Amino acid sequence: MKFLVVDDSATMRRIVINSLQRIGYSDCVEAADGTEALERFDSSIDFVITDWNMPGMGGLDLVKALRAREDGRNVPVLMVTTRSVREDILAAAAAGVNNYVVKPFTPQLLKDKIEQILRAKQGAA
Amino acid sequence: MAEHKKVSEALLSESEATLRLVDTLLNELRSAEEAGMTEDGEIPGVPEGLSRQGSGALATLSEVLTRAYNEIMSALDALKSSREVLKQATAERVHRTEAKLREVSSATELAATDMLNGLDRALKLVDRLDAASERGEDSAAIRNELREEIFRLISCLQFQDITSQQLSYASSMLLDVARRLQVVATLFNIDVSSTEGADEQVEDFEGGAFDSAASMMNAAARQAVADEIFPFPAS
Repeated sequence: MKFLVVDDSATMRRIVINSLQRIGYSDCVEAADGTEALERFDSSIDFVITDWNMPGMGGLDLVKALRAREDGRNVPVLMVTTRSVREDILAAAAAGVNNYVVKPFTPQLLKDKIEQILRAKQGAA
Repeated sequence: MAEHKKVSEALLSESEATLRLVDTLLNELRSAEEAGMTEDGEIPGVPEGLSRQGSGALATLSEVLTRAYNEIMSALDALKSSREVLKQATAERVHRTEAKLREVSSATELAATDMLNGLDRALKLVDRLDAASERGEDSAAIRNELREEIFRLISCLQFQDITSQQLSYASSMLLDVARRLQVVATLFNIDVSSTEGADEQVEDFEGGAFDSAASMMNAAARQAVADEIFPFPAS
Protein backbone atom coordinates (compact mmCIF):
# COMPACT_ATOMS: atom_id res chain seq x y z
CA MET A 1 0.00 0.00 0.00
CA LYS A 2 1.38 3.37 -1.09
CA PHE A 3 0.80 6.50 1.02
CA LEU A 4 1.02 10.15 0.01
CA VAL A 5 1.92 12.26 3.08
CA VAL A 6 1.24 15.99 2.65
CA ASP A 7 2.44 18.51 5.23
CA ASP A 8 4.44 21.74 5.02
CA SER A 9 6.35 20.74 8.16
CA ALA A 10 9.19 18.35 7.36
CA THR A 11 9.15 17.27 11.03
CA MET A 12 5.48 16.29 10.81
CA ARG A 13 6.00 14.41 7.54
CA ARG A 14 8.80 12.48 9.19
CA ILE A 15 6.69 11.70 12.28
CA VAL A 16 3.75 10.50 10.15
CA ILE A 17 6.01 8.41 7.89
CA ASN A 18 7.74 6.98 10.96
CA SER A 19 4.32 6.05 12.39
CA LEU A 20 3.32 4.41 9.11
CA GLN A 21 6.54 2.40 9.01
CA ARG A 22 5.91 1.24 12.58
CA ILE A 23 2.60 -0.27 11.52
CA GLY A 24 4.03 -1.85 8.42
CA TYR A 25 3.53 0.71 5.65
CA SER A 26 6.91 1.68 4.28
CA ASP A 27 5.95 2.85 0.79
CA CYS A 28 5.46 6.61 1.21
CA VAL A 29 5.62 9.64 -1.06
CA GLU A 30 5.94 13.15 0.44
CA ALA A 31 4.62 16.56 -0.60
CA ALA A 32 4.94 19.95 1.11
CA ASP A 33 1.64 21.44 -0.08
CA GLY A 34 -1.50 20.74 -2.08
CA THR A 35 -0.02 21.71 -5.41
CA GLU A 36 2.95 19.40 -5.01
CA ALA A 37 0.60 16.66 -3.79
CA LEU A 38 -1.51 16.92 -6.94
CA GLU A 39 1.66 16.66 -9.04
CA ARG A 40 2.75 13.58 -7.12
CA PHE A 41 -0.67 11.95 -7.06
CA ASP A 42 -1.40 9.18 -9.52
CA SER A 43 -3.32 5.93 -9.57
CA SER A 44 -0.52 4.17 -7.67
CA ILE A 45 -1.38 6.12 -4.50
CA ASP A 46 -3.66 4.11 -2.20
CA PHE A 47 -4.01 6.47 0.73
CA VAL A 48 -3.56 10.21 1.33
CA ILE A 49 -2.70 11.75 4.70
CA THR A 50 -2.84 15.52 4.56
CA ASP A 51 -2.45 18.56 6.78
CA TRP A 52 -4.96 21.43 6.41
CA ASN A 53 -2.95 24.65 6.77
CA MET A 54 -0.19 24.88 4.21
CA PRO A 55 1.21 27.73 2.12
CA GLY A 56 -0.27 27.83 -1.37
CA MET A 57 -2.86 25.10 -1.80
CA GLY A 58 -4.10 23.88 1.58
CA GLY A 59 -5.42 20.45 2.53
CA LEU A 60 -9.11 21.22 2.08
CA ASP A 61 -8.60 22.44 -1.49
CA LEU A 62 -6.41 19.42 -2.14
CA VAL A 63 -9.23 17.09 -1.09
CA LYS A 64 -11.72 18.94 -3.28
CA ALA A 65 -9.30 18.76 -6.22
CA LEU A 66 -8.73 15.04 -5.65
CA ARG A 67 -12.46 14.33 -5.45
CA ALA A 68 -12.91 16.15 -8.76
CA ARG A 69 -10.44 13.80 -10.47
CA GLU A 70 -11.40 10.43 -11.80
CA ASP A 71 -8.40 8.72 -10.19
CA GLY A 72 -8.82 10.58 -6.88
CA ARG A 73 -12.55 10.20 -6.38
CA ASN A 74 -12.33 7.15 -4.13
CA VAL A 75 -8.86 7.38 -2.63
CA PRO A 76 -9.04 7.33 1.19
CA VAL A 77 -8.04 10.66 2.74
CA LEU A 78 -7.13 11.21 6.38
CA MET A 79 -6.87 14.84 7.48
CA VAL A 80 -4.23 15.38 10.21
CA THR A 81 -4.40 18.95 11.45
CA THR A 82 -4.41 21.31 14.43
CA ARG A 83 -7.83 22.64 13.40
CA SER A 84 -10.48 21.35 15.76
CA VAL A 85 -13.41 23.73 15.43
CA ARG A 86 -16.61 21.82 14.67
CA GLU A 87 -17.36 23.93 11.57
CA ASP A 88 -13.92 23.13 10.15
CA ILE A 89 -14.35 19.41 10.75
CA LEU A 90 -17.78 19.50 9.12
CA ALA A 91 -16.27 21.37 6.15
CA ALA A 92 -13.63 18.65 5.85
CA ALA A 93 -16.32 15.96 5.93
CA ALA A 94 -18.31 17.81 3.28
CA ALA A 95 -15.20 18.08 1.07
CA GLY A 96 -14.80 14.30 1.14
CA VAL A 97 -12.33 13.60 3.94
CA ASN A 98 -12.73 10.03 5.24
CA ASN A 99 -11.50 10.67 8.76
CA TYR A 100 -9.91 13.30 10.94
CA VAL A 101 -7.02 13.39 13.41
CA VAL A 102 -6.29 16.42 15.58
CA LYS A 103 -2.64 17.29 16.26
CA PRO A 104 -0.88 16.48 18.51
CA PHE A 105 -1.89 12.85 18.04
CA THR A 106 -0.71 9.60 19.57
CA PRO A 107 0.76 6.97 17.25
CA GLN A 108 -2.04 4.63 18.38
CA LEU A 109 -4.73 7.10 17.28
CA LEU A 110 -3.17 7.47 13.84
CA LYS A 111 -2.99 3.68 13.50
CA ASP A 112 -6.62 3.27 14.62
CA LYS A 113 -7.88 5.88 12.18
CA ILE A 114 -5.98 4.41 9.22
CA GLU A 115 -7.27 0.94 10.04
CA GLN A 116 -10.79 2.27 10.46
CA ILE A 117 -10.69 3.84 7.00
CA LEU A 118 -9.24 0.69 5.43
CA ARG A 119 -11.87 -1.51 7.11
CA ALA A 120 -14.64 0.77 5.87
CA LYS A 121 -13.17 0.64 2.37
CA GLN A 122 -12.95 -3.15 2.45
CA GLY A 123 -16.52 -3.30 3.75
CA ALA A 124 -17.73 -1.12 0.90
CA ALA A 125 -15.88 -3.14 -1.76
CA MET B 1 -8.77 52.65 9.32
CA ALA B 2 -8.32 53.76 5.68
CA GLU B 3 -11.36 56.05 6.06
CA HIS B 4 -9.84 57.73 9.11
CA LYS B 5 -6.55 58.13 7.31
CA LYS B 6 -8.27 59.79 4.33
CA VAL B 7 -10.28 62.21 6.51
CA SER B 8 -7.26 63.08 8.66
CA GLU B 9 -5.08 63.68 5.62
CA ALA B 10 -7.69 65.93 3.99
CA LEU B 11 -8.20 67.93 7.17
CA LEU B 12 -4.50 68.28 7.80
CA SER B 13 -3.96 69.47 4.25
CA GLU B 14 -6.78 72.02 4.51
CA SER B 15 -5.58 73.22 7.90
CA GLU B 16 -2.06 73.61 6.60
CA ALA B 17 -3.32 75.68 3.64
CA THR B 18 -5.40 77.86 5.96
CA LEU B 19 -2.55 78.43 8.36
CA ARG B 20 -0.30 79.41 5.48
CA LEU B 21 -2.95 81.93 4.40
CA VAL B 22 -3.15 83.33 7.93
CA ASP B 23 0.63 83.55 8.06
CA THR B 24 0.72 85.41 4.76
CA LEU B 25 -1.97 87.86 5.89
CA LEU B 26 -0.24 88.53 9.18
CA ASN B 27 3.04 89.18 7.37
CA GLU B 28 1.28 91.51 4.96
CA LEU B 29 -0.40 93.41 7.81
CA ARG B 30 2.92 93.67 9.60
CA SER B 31 4.53 95.04 6.40
CA ALA B 32 1.68 97.53 6.01
CA GLU B 33 2.11 98.77 9.54
CA GLU B 34 5.82 99.20 8.94
CA ALA B 35 5.30 100.88 5.55
CA GLY B 36 2.34 103.04 6.65
CA MET B 37 -0.93 103.52 4.75
CA THR B 38 -1.27 105.77 1.69
CA GLU B 39 -3.44 108.87 1.79
CA ASP B 40 -6.51 107.07 0.44
CA GLY B 41 -6.20 104.35 3.11
CA GLU B 42 -4.68 101.72 0.81
CA ILE B 43 -1.84 99.66 2.20
CA PRO B 44 0.95 99.23 -0.34
CA GLY B 45 1.60 95.62 -1.32
CA VAL B 46 -1.46 94.25 0.51
CA PRO B 47 -4.33 92.70 -1.51
CA GLU B 48 -7.06 95.15 -2.28
CA GLY B 49 -9.76 93.32 -0.33
CA LEU B 50 -7.71 93.42 2.83
CA SER B 51 -6.12 96.81 2.54
CA ARG B 52 -9.30 98.81 1.97
CA GLN B 53 -9.80 99.58 5.64
CA GLY B 54 -7.99 98.37 8.72
CA SER B 55 -11.27 97.13 10.26
CA GLY B 56 -12.21 95.36 6.99
CA ALA B 57 -8.89 93.56 6.95
CA LEU B 58 -9.36 92.53 10.56
CA ALA B 59 -12.86 91.24 9.77
CA THR B 60 -11.40 89.11 6.97
CA LEU B 61 -8.63 87.93 9.24
CA SER B 62 -11.19 87.05 11.93
CA GLU B 63 -13.14 84.96 9.38
CA VAL B 64 -9.97 83.21 8.28
CA LEU B 65 -8.96 82.52 11.86
CA THR B 66 -12.43 81.15 12.71
CA ARG B 67 -12.26 78.89 9.67
CA ALA B 68 -8.75 77.81 10.64
CA TYR B 69 -9.88 77.14 14.21
CA ASN B 70 -12.84 75.02 13.02
CA GLU B 71 -10.67 73.06 10.64
CA ILE B 72 -7.99 72.49 13.25
CA MET B 73 -10.65 71.29 15.70
CA SER B 74 -12.08 68.91 13.07
CA ALA B 75 -8.58 67.66 12.34
CA LEU B 76 -7.93 67.15 16.04
CA ASP B 77 -11.26 65.31 16.46
CA ALA B 78 -10.41 63.05 13.52
CA LEU B 79 -6.93 62.42 14.90
CA LYS B 80 -8.38 61.70 18.34
CA SER B 81 -10.83 59.21 16.89
CA SER B 82 -8.05 57.64 14.73
CA ARG B 83 -5.92 57.40 17.85
CA GLU B 84 -8.73 55.61 19.73
CA VAL B 85 -9.26 53.14 16.88
CA LEU B 86 -5.52 52.58 16.61
CA LYS B 87 -5.11 52.23 20.37
CA GLN B 88 -7.93 49.71 20.62
CA ALA B 89 -6.82 47.66 17.62
CA THR B 90 -3.12 47.62 18.42
CA ALA B 91 -3.58 47.00 22.15
CA GLU B 92 -5.81 44.02 21.40
CA ARG B 93 -3.30 42.64 18.90
CA VAL B 94 -0.37 43.12 21.25
CA HIS B 95 -2.29 41.27 23.99
CA ARG B 96 -3.16 38.45 21.60
CA THR B 97 0.48 38.24 20.53
CA GLU B 98 1.62 38.16 24.12
CA ALA B 99 -0.91 35.41 24.94
CA LYS B 100 0.23 33.39 21.94
CA LEU B 101 3.88 33.73 22.92
CA ARG B 102 3.02 32.51 26.41
CA GLU B 103 1.28 29.54 24.78
CA VAL B 104 4.46 28.81 22.79
CA SER B 105 6.43 28.92 26.00
CA SER B 106 4.08 26.52 27.77
CA ALA B 107 3.93 24.21 24.71
CA THR B 108 7.72 23.90 24.61
CA GLU B 109 7.77 23.37 28.39
CA LEU B 110 5.13 20.65 28.09
CA ALA B 111 6.97 18.94 25.23
CA ALA B 112 10.30 19.17 27.07
CA THR B 113 8.74 17.63 30.20
CA ASP B 114 7.16 14.82 28.16
CA MET B 115 10.49 14.11 26.49
CA LEU B 116 12.42 14.17 29.76
CA ASN B 117 9.89 11.77 31.32
CA GLY B 118 10.21 9.54 28.26
CA LEU B 119 14.00 9.62 28.45
CA ASP B 120 13.85 8.72 32.16
CA ARG B 121 11.64 5.73 31.34
CA ALA B 122 13.97 4.75 28.48
CA LEU B 123 17.01 4.91 30.76
CA LYS B 124 15.26 2.70 33.32
CA LEU B 125 14.48 0.22 30.56
CA VAL B 126 18.16 0.19 29.56
CA ASP B 127 19.04 -0.55 33.22
CA ARG B 128 16.52 -3.41 33.18
CA LEU B 129 18.07 -4.68 29.93
CA ASP B 130 21.51 -4.70 31.59
CA ALA B 131 20.16 -6.52 34.63
CA ALA B 132 18.36 -9.06 32.43
CA SER B 133 21.53 -9.59 30.42
CA GLU B 134 23.58 -10.17 33.62
CA ARG B 135 21.03 -12.72 34.78
CA GLY B 136 20.96 -14.30 31.32
CA GLU B 137 17.20 -13.71 30.99
CA ASP B 138 15.25 -13.15 27.77
CA SER B 139 14.93 -9.40 27.25
CA ALA B 140 12.71 -9.27 24.14
CA ALA B 141 9.79 -7.76 26.07
CA ILE B 142 12.00 -5.01 27.54
CA ARG B 143 13.46 -4.24 24.11
CA ASN B 144 9.95 -3.87 22.70
CA GLU B 145 9.01 -1.58 25.55
CA LEU B 146 12.11 0.49 24.86
CA ARG B 147 11.22 0.75 21.17
CA GLU B 148 7.72 1.97 22.07
CA GLU B 149 9.17 4.52 24.44
CA ILE B 150 11.54 5.88 21.81
CA PHE B 151 8.67 5.98 19.32
CA ARG B 152 6.59 8.00 21.79
CA LEU B 153 9.52 10.40 22.11
CA ILE B 154 9.51 10.92 18.34
CA SER B 155 5.80 11.76 18.53
CA CYS B 156 6.53 14.43 21.15
CA LEU B 157 8.35 16.34 18.41
CA GLN B 158 4.96 17.35 17.01
CA PHE B 159 5.32 20.38 19.24
CA GLN B 160 7.65 21.84 16.57
CA ASP B 161 4.82 22.07 14.02
CA ILE B 162 2.36 23.45 16.56
CA THR B 163 4.67 26.08 18.05
CA SER B 164 5.76 27.06 14.55
CA GLN B 165 2.11 27.87 13.72
CA GLN B 166 1.72 29.75 17.00
CA LEU B 167 4.82 31.83 16.21
CA SER B 168 3.56 32.51 12.68
CA TYR B 169 0.35 33.83 14.21
CA ALA B 170 2.30 36.05 16.66
CA SER B 171 4.45 37.35 13.77
CA SER B 172 1.37 38.17 11.72
CA MET B 173 -0.07 40.17 14.66
CA LEU B 174 3.19 42.11 15.09
CA LEU B 175 3.39 42.87 11.38
CA ASP B 176 -0.20 44.09 11.44
CA VAL B 177 0.59 46.42 14.36
CA ALA B 178 3.67 47.67 12.46
CA ARG B 179 1.48 48.35 9.42
CA ARG B 180 -1.00 50.36 11.52
CA LEU B 181 1.77 52.38 13.14
CA GLN B 182 3.22 53.02 9.69
CA VAL B 183 -0.09 54.58 8.58
CA VAL B 184 -0.06 56.93 11.59
CA ALA B 185 3.64 57.74 11.16
CA THR B 186 3.02 58.63 7.51
CA LEU B 187 0.41 61.18 8.63
CA PHE B 188 3.11 62.93 10.62
CA ASN B 189 5.75 62.60 7.89
CA ILE B 190 7.87 60.29 10.03
CA ASP B 191 10.25 58.10 8.07
CA VAL B 192 9.35 54.45 8.66
CA SER B 193 11.25 52.86 5.82
CA SER B 194 12.31 49.97 8.09
CA THR B 195 8.72 48.66 8.10
CA GLU B 196 8.55 48.59 4.30
CA GLY B 197 7.34 45.23 3.05
CA ALA B 198 5.19 44.62 6.14
CA ASP B 199 2.06 44.65 3.95
CA GLU B 200 3.40 41.88 1.74
CA GLN B 201 4.46 39.83 4.75
CA VAL B 202 1.03 40.21 6.37
CA GLU B 203 -0.56 39.04 3.11
CA ASP B 204 1.77 36.02 3.13
CA PHE B 205 0.62 35.18 6.64
CA GLU B 206 -3.01 35.67 5.67
CA GLY B 207 -2.59 32.99 3.01
CA GLY B 208 -3.77 30.25 5.40
CA ALA B 209 -0.35 28.74 6.03
CA PHE B 210 -1.01 28.46 9.75
CA ASP B 211 -3.83 27.80 12.19
CA SER B 212 -4.17 30.74 14.60
CA ALA B 213 -5.73 28.37 17.18
CA ALA B 214 -3.03 25.68 16.95
CA SER B 215 -2.47 24.28 20.43
CA MET B 216 -0.80 21.48 22.34
CA MET B 217 -3.49 21.69 25.02
CA ASN B 218 -6.62 19.52 25.40
CA ALA B 219 -5.76 17.30 22.45
CA ALA B 220 -8.10 14.52 23.63
CA ALA B 221 -11.08 16.87 24.04
CA ARG B 222 -10.46 18.38 20.61
CA GLN B 223 -10.13 14.93 19.05
CA ALA B 224 -13.47 14.02 20.65
CA VAL B 225 -15.15 16.74 18.56
CA ALA B 226 -13.73 15.13 15.41
CA ASP B 227 -14.79 11.66 16.59
CA GLU B 228 -18.38 12.84 16.95
CA ILE B 229 -18.37 13.72 13.27
CA PHE B 230 -16.25 10.74 12.16
CA PRO B 231 -17.29 8.12 14.73
CA PHE B 232 -15.32 4.98 15.40
CA PRO B 233 -17.29 1.84 14.50
CA ALA B 234 -19.04 0.22 17.50
CA SER B 235 -16.91 -2.93 17.28
